[in-house]
Order: sequence, then C-alpha cells, then structure tokens
Amino acid sequence: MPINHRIRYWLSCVLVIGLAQTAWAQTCKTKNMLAMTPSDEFKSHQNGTVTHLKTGLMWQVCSVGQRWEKGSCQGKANALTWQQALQWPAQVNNTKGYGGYKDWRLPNRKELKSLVEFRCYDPAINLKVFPNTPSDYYWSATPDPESHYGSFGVGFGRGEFFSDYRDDVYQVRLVRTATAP
Amino acid sequence: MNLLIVFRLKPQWHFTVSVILLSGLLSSCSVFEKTPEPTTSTLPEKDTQPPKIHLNGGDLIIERHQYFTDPGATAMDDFDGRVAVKVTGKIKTYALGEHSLTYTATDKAGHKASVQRLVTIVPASTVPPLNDTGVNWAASYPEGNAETCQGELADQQDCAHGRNQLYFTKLDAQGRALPKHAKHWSCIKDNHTGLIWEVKTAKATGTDLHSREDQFNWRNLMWATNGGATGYRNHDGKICTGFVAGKEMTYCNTHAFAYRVNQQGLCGFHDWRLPNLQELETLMSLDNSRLMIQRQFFPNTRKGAYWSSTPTAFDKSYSWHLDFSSGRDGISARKDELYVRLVRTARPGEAHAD
Repeated sequence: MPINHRIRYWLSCVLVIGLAQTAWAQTCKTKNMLAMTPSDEFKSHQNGTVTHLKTGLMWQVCSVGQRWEKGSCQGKANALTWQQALQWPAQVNNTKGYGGYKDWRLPNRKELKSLVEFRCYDPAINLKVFPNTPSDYYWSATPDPESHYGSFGVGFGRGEFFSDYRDDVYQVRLVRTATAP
Repeated sequence: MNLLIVFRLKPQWHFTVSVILLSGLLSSCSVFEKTPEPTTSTLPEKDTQPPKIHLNGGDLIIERHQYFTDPGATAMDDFDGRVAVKVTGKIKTYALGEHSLTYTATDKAGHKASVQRLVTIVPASTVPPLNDTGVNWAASYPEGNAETCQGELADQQDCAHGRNQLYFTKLDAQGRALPKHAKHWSCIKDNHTGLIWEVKTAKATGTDLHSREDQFNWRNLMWATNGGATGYRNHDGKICTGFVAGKEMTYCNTHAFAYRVNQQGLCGFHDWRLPNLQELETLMSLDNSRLMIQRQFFPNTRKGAYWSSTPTAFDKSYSWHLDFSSGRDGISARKDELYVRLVRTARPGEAHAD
C-alpha cells in the first residue's frame, strides 16, 4: 500500500472511531455511584411524554426541534434565545397541544435540574428515559437575580447550572405539572 | 521488672494505708457520722433485679449504603450503678430490610438484661419532591429585572408558576414542631420535600457541634456511593469543632462530622447524612440576591460552598457543591474546606410529623 493510501486508511479509521464515540459518548459510573434518576422512577406514556414519579412532573421525552418516533428522538434539537424559549410553549398549547395536554411550559431551574443523572456525563441524563438528548445547555424559566442580563440553565454535559445572556441560544425541553406531589 | 512494680506500687500503698487510718479516725468521731439517707433504706439486701438498659435513639430507619452509626446504650443497675453494655449483631447497610442489634448488660450478681434495636434499611434517596424556587419577580428581555411578576412574557416565567411559596416548620431540640414565630429552633422541616435540615448556630468554631464556621474535607467510606475514592480523613487539621489530633472520629471531614452528630443526636434523630446535590438545591430561594436561602429559617448561612454527598462521575477526587451566594453549583476537590448542612428524611409516623 502506498504511504499516502496508508495514511488515508488510518485517517478513515480514526474518523470512524471518532464518529462512533460522538454517537455513543455517554459514560456512566455504575459501580461506585447510585442512580439519581433510575428508570423505574419514570412512567412512560408511550406518546413522547413521561412522568417523573418523584416530582409529579410530566416531561416531553424529546427536546424542542426533535420528533418522537418509534420510541426515540429524531432530528436535531433547536437552539432558542431565552425569549423564544419562553414563547415556545404558547405555540404548542395554542395549536394542537402535546401528548393530549395544552399546559406545557418552560421548566424552572429546580425542575430542570431534577433530570440530571449525576453518575453519567456527556450527557448527564438517563438516556433510556430521554433518548438522544444532546450534551448541551438547556434554558430554564428562572432569571438570575445577580445579573440584569442573565437567566439560569443547566448544562446536560455534566449537569451544572449556568447563567448566561438572555439573547444567547440554548436547547429547550418542556414540562407540565401532572400531579401535585 | 519486679523491682519496678514494687516501686510503682509503693506510693499507692502509702495512700491506701493513710486512707484506712483517716477513715478509722473519722468513724470513731461521732461528729462526722452521717444519718443514713432514706434512699439507702430502699436498697435491697440482695441484688435480685437485672440492670435497666436505655437505648439512645430507639429503632432506626437508615438509607441503603449510608454509614451506620450506633448511637449506643446505657445500663443502670439498682445495686451496682452503671454497668457496661455489650453490643452484638451487625447492620449490613447494603441489604434492604430489617436488621437488629442486641444490647446486653450483666450485673455483678449475674442478672442479665437485653434489649433489641431494630434497624430498617430503606432505599437510598434520589430526587426529592420539589419546592418553589422563591422567584416572585419577572425578568425583561434582553435585560432588566422587575420587582414583581409583571412584564413581557411574565406569565411564561418562573414567577407565574409553581407553588410560589416555601413551607417550613421549625423544630425544637427534641424534634417537636414550634410555632411560626418561635425565636429558638434546632432543625427545620421542609413540608414540601419531606426533608429535615440541620440549623447552624452563631457560636464560634470550637464551641459548638453545629457552629456556622465549621468546615470539612469531603469523606465517604462507603464504596457503593463514594465515586471510587474515600476522600480525605484529615487534610486541614482543626477547621471544625471538637478536633483532637490522633482521634480519628474528631477529625474535620464530612464522614466524622455526621458520625458525631448521630452519636449525640440532633432534634432527637440519629440518622443525619450529607444531602445529595438535588436535595441541597431545594434550599435555594432566589428572592434574595445577597444570599439565596430563606434566612428567617436558616440563619447563620455562610457565603461560600456547601458540600453535597454527590461524587463527580468524571473525577473521583472531586465532589459537587452548592454556593448560596452565587446560586451556582460546581465541583470542588475533596481536600477543600467547605461548609456542611446535614439532612435527614422525615419518616411517616414520626412524633412531630405534621
């Protein structure tokens, strides 16, 4: 094999491994940490919504921009400004709703945080319950009292809070109150 | 060797002899004679009763994979006074269900008493039921924060949803509910989350087990929950109350601190633990930008990070913390000095429950 072909061969191998890693990148520490969001604490409604039994919150399985198909989430999640993120639920609720409900809203920071699975990272979420969630930042409905420009969100790569400018664009996942816990 | 013992015994002999002489002198002198106390007359001639054992804490409910601290027991005998208590049994905190410890005390006459402590292992805490964020004001876009829940898109924001109030109960040192305006309390029960929290005191470090100034290194001996490393036993020496060099359970780490509180008991409970990060986050209240916690219930909260029990999945030398002055969480090296607020889960049927 000529040398440049060999390089090309190895490069493609590296590329394939690299792609495989981006598709299966999540790492979970199952030995020395307990699950914070075990699958049996969620009830799937088989229609793109799931209820977290510990909090009584109903969540959309897919992020805004993704489609729920055959038990998973297809397509790419949309990044929205904080204003667009606040406006999005009305678009859902004022048309056909979602999962049979028309009271969806942007989660506050405590609600959004409650989805973080700390024993996993990239992403820090239970992918059995929320498949194909990107390792990305998500807006909450909670503004930052320390900053006149900022609102809070959660980074689902590792699970930490962030506060950033309201005109920056991040992902969105909608919630509704199913039962008062 | 013999010579040494003789030398050691000699002063004691002198002492004993002088005590005998002195007591002989005193007893011969009627002025020093005491009339017998009434209690001595009720003392039986012969020891017929076994000792009475008092269990500190009674039956306990402990979460799976938590370190179990035995609060211990004391035994009193009507004849011999305080007698030693022997404990048998083992609490396997990895196994759900009922376990027991048997406490036995025997007096000099050979009468034996025994008492059992039931320890029930229940599943570990995950995400607690949530409470409100405390946000009652709206933000504008792209900048500006309002005083009230009014403005553009306010009805879509945090302030327009949720319970919009927090619901705490003050508990006294015995764990009993206090009126809302009570001036002194030892613990706080969050009626939304079902968690009971340690309340810190204004006392200086070194003077009180619950001093607001006390800091700790992170430590967890339980391999199922420690993220793959135990953390630090004594990285920084005297940064908390009770530290004694060479005495491991007095050290300023989170494990030893929870052990001390469970030995002594707080609000009558002996099942205190470090909160997980989701539980710690429920203390956040964002209506006060200087310190984002309800200070009328949690006075003496410090600026700076508080430890959670949550390890970081990506680096076993770190654990998660939450800072009530910035409203941010993050990871800290386990050898760092951070504050701690212990928690326990309220159990159905408890004396103070609602």
